[in-house]
Amino acid sequence: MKKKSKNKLFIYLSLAVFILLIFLHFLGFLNIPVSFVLDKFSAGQNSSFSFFTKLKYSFINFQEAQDLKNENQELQQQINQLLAENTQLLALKSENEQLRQILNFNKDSEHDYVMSKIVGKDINRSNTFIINKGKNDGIALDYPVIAGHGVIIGKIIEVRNNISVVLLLTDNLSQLGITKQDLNKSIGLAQGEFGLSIKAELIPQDIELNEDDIIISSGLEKIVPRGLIIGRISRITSTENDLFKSAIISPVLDYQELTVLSVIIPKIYQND
Amino acid sequence: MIKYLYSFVIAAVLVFIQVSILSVFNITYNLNLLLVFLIFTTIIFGLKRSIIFAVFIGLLINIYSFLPFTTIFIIYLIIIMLINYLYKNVFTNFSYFSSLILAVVGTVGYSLLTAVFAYFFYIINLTNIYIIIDYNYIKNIIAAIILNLILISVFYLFAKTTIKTLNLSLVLKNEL
Repeated sequence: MKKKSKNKLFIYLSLAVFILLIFLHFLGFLNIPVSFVLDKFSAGQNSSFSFFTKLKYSFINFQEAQDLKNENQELQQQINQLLAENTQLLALKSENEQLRQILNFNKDSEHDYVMSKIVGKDINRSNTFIINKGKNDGIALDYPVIAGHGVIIGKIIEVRNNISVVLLLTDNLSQLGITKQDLNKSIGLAQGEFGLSIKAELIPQDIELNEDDIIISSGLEKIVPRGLIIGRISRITSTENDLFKSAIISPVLDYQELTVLSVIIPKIYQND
Repeated sequence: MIKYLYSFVIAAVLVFIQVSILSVFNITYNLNLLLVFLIFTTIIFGLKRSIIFAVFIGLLINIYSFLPFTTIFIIYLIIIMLINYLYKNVFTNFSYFSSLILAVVGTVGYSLLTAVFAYFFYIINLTNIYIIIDYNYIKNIIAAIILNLILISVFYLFAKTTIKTLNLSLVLKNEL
């Protein structure tokens, strides 16, 4: 009997602690202990995440010759770099043409970047990365996250003081305005598919699409700049009778191999 | 005080393993080490001890989640109370079978509660995403059940061996 009442008291006490914690959290009093824990954790977490990611890929590539792998990686990097440069140049060219027409130089396309390291994944959402930068570094909700040379991999969905959660483009809830490299207008919407690939939807039938076409962000959303590479079209899934075209986009990077990312901070928001 | 400190250190190590090691590998991503640990702690040490672990683990893991602060702690609290109730009222002893059933109940309960809470917070605008219950979600729950069953089997074997070797039958508080 005594034990039962003791247990009840313990449960009530736990609930009281829990309510107090919520209260303290909303008042911001927990920021200091949380920051302390994160500071102590994140260095080790990034090291272990990088180590195990490399370990995972070393198992996968074990059979391959090392020099072939290195060469392949270098070539891949070059391709990505050239792809990014080419995309940026084309985007700049078309933007420049428009700007010349209206003789009004717009500086909104300039951005700052915050380098961040991946420290883990959200256990309740598989298509996510947790990065070691947050509100204190100027990151806010919906900011685009890139890897390598301008390859967009997702957006920020949760920001804490020293940490943020990135939702990958391959997640079913991810959406982004898209276009082709050589077009100025937005042609459709990219939406994640089961965490594996990205589906391009709502593309008008008059837009010509071919396999291996590079798809980039259209800049339709104010925060996401135009010209960030999303991927290549690997398969066109619609027929001529459909109202809109749809296609499967394969990301140009293997998201699971990443350990370092950059968050784009639009200058227009920097004084907020 | 030392007991709480030990619990915090164990919780921190487990959270570290879950977030930064298990999440890297596709095969272990669905393994919920934290949940299995809490279920097993409830069976072996009773409700009080598992609540202490749930507080530390729940709050630490919530730092790395899109869910609002304390949500995972609440989910853990509900799960361990359910496990404790089932263990005391439905299963009569500490057996392999009861551990497996409780692991399945805990895993399914955790997955469903997470989805419900995420959707609730999405409706009231506290989160930007929710969990879609689709084929992929079901596939993940099945994978989680299988992996958690394997892990709880390992825990069970470890506990049985330890109890037998060290004659620690009194550790099983719930059997008293």
